[in-house]
Amino acid sequence: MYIPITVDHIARVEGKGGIEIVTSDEGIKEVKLNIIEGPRFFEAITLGKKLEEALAVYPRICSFCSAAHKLTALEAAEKAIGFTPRPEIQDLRDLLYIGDMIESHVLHLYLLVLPDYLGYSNPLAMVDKYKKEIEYAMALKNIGSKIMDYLGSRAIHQENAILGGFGKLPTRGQFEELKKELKEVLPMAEYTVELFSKLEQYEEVKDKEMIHMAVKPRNGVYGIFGDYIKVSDGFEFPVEDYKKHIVEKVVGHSFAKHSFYNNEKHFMVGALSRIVNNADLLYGKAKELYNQYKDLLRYDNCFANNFAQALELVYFIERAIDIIDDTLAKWPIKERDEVEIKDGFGVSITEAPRGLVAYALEVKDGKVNYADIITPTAMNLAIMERHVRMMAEKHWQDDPETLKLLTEMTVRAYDPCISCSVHVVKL
Amino acid sequence: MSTLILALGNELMKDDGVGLKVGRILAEKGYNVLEVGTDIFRLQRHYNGEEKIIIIDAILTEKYKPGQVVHLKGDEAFEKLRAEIRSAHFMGAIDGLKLLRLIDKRLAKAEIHFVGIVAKEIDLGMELSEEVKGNIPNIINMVESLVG
Repeated sequence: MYIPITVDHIARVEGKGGIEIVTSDEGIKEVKLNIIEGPRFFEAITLGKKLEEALAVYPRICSFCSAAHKLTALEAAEKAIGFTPRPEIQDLRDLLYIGDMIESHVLHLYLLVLPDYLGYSNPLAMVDKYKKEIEYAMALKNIGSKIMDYLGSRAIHQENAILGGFGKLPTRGQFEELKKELKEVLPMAEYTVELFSKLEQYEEVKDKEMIHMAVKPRNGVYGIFGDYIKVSDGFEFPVEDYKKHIVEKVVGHSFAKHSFYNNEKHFMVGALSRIVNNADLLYGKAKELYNQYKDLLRYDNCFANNFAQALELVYFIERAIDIIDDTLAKWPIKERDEVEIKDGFGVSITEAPRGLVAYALEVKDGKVNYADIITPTAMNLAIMERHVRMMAEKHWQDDPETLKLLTEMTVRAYDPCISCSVHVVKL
Repeated sequence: MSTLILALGNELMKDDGVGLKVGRILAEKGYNVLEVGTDIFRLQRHYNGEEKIIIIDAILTEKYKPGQVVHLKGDEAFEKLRAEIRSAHFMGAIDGLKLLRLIDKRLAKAEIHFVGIVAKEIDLGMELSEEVKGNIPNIINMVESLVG
């Protein structure tokens, strides 16, 4: 007899996805991550559009990671037209991106992951007993949003980062305000590390064959932008070669494609993958915490991704303070340089909160002639499905609610971003 | 009584953008309006202790005709409204507001009004349906009367 167990809509993940597990008397027959978010055709709708117009469309892929999409598309576009931003402008783009990273990590950790571990169905139910944690989450989220407000012009779908630099830069006073507030929330990020160090990393999904992919950061500083991709098996490749090494395949049960390393191997991207590949580039308090807790940052367990995000909160807050210090030391800074839109082709791969996001753009006569985008969740789907299966294989005889919870927790550890864009209430 | 008007919605999804469009008209008229879009948590950072909060958003219902306006006050808003699709990616706006009220005593004391406009179409596009667009003057009047 075959018994299907389904989670129609995985709660507390971004977008619409479900899990389908089919069991029989002998065990697990089938496990599928059903991505039911409709196809959105973002690449196609920007073809033939003016480059500047297309750059305003791409961030709409996701309001959670709009800065990541904006800045990756912008870098690909600038590479295509042969423009390189000044280092101080690049630093400020890093800072804008860090705002996105902080906000995304903290919402994932406190409001999506923590309720599972504390035995609540949602964060609202936690407030009575865990008010401090929710207050910390809001304070940390707020500083991320504020960075995006000041650098990007608004917290979601920022338009201030443009070809050549920024439309307008924050004032010196605003940078000083950000620095003060970043220092204030740093202890909350350290508390987050301590809190998440106590949470279980389920052995059921321990996977010695896990491969991690991350950007090799430019200038030797742990971070977001780079020109090469590092693979945990020791291989490196230039971002321009991404199609040779990251192969997307259509699968029948998902609107999102699955990605494979060198056409056959599953791989992971995200905070854990960054730590696995680039931990030697951490510095400051984050480095100390890494040394203290490195046993919890195991390459072979996707649940370590939650703890890696907690550690990155500390790192990116410290890094943001350093960027602001450097910015103020160089003040005043010219906001942008003139650009000439020439024909060309450019690839950028950056570290979005959930992992690698790839943009390839071809510009012809000022318009987008070719666009290819791969999101982190599309890269993670294949390995995520494998780990959901591993979890299901260990718990298929448990009661269905336990099985559902543990498989959902496995998905949530990847912090998937399936993407939703509509928001309505029903009466 | 000091008042903050919260404009919610997604203007890329046709009628779901009505809250934002009404909010902008009210802001031009000089009212204290915060566009939170799909992220209710923005409220926390911009909240200055206003004693009255008026939320404007699109709603889906078959009980009323498209364009009609529904006003709910206080607990009635929290009881009757159900977040259908998550904003801020995990939590409906109403649940988000509940959460913020639990950690901010000033917000917990504020008088809450919800002005919902019945949507006809929630789909990709920036234009409002004729039914919703045609009723914007009435929505404005209702919000202005609530501000007092």
